[in-house]
Amino acid sequence: MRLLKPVNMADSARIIRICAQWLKEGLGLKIVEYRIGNAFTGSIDILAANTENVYLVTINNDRLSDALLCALTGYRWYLENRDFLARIYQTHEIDLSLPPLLMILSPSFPSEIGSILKLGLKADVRLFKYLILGSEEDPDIYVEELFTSRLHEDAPATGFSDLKKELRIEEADLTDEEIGEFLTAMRV
Amino acid sequence: MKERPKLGRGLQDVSRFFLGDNLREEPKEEAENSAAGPRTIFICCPFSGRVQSVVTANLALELARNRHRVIICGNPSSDGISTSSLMRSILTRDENEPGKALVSLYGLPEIVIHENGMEAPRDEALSQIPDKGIGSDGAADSIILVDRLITIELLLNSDQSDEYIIITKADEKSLLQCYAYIKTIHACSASSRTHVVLDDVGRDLNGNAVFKKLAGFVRDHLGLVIHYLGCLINDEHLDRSITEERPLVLFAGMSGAKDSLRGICTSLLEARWE
Repeated sequence: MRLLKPVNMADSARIIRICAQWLKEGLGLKIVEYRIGNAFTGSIDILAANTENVYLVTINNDRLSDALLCALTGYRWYLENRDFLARIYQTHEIDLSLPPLLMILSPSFPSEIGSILKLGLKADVRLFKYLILGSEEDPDIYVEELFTSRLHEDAPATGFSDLKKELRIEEADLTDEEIGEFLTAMRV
Repeated sequence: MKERPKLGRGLQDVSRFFLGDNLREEPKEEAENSAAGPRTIFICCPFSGRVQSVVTANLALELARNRHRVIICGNPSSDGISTSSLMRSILTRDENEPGKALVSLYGLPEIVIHENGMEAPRDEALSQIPDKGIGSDGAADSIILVDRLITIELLLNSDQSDEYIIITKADEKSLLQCYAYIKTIHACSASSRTHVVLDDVGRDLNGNAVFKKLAGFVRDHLGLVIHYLGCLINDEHLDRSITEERPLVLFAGMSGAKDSLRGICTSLLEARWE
């Protein structure tokens, strides 16, 4: 038996590289860039992609509040600079027309974080709890998915017209966005 | 003869400025209430006319037990069940007035039922309520229960301020339907009041928690307060009361359904709106 002890690693660049390796091997994502943007206007620790989403990854190794702010400013930076990024990267490297997804990896999260982000954000979010084990020289990473919000899955391609028809509420002046928010609120 | 105020104007001012902050105006409010006429409550169960009639019939009896005069405007539901069919065992009919039936229980106010046909529009149903039985002295105690098919289209053609009891199941779709009704009711008349009853929530769900989520969303998105009357429990006594056409609150022994209907009535009578 091998007993793995948690490692308190202070080198954030190294943690990012370990997490990036897990993103590649564990989730099959393509890593496009590290540490994009800047602290003043917003930054993303890892820009990654697959055929469904562009992943804006933030790795927390200190205070979660700082990491959350970093993730949100990074998301804003990405939306504001998507045209600029499209000039830098080829389509085969990353398809920037795909919906962005915020991914946050942190050693811990408060229990209500999922519902808060789901209600407060228009983007999809995935939260992962990670733990680095073993030793600094030969670290292992344990990752557990805590929360996934898929806003776009709530709204079918045709909107909610079928549901409105089924419930006979077509004339109740409910918007698709309102119905989406309602269904989300009832599931929390 | 008009009653003269006991205090002169000067003493009224002394009372106002030195003994309290406000002038006493309660007698005026009482006079306004008695002139307001009967309370009209629409029972609305979008998923089942049967459940709607069950609630109406038992609520009417409970209200009568609380010494309220009750008039029911009813239509049979699509499955043929109506308020009067559920109360058939205690019903008497007036041969001179077809479509009208009475429930007379010793010591309690009579319940009058008007069966006005499937297609009667909502306002026409109300216009058929006679003055008889709601004298001006008892108007404040009178309650009109409307048990008919209420659709969104029907609500859109109404601008009257009324009270609604919406009966809904606790699943997402039913709650969305309930929300659509609440939004439409208040879009047509901002001063309407809405109560919610949850039907057959089951053991795994907490009715209060479900209502809290619904009420929170309604408050945040529509700026409205809705009132919770409780959960309607379904049990074998309820099914038997429908089959035997004997109202649950009158004839059933120990029954969760009966207790839940009584609780709903109590909450309705105790509802206070700010």
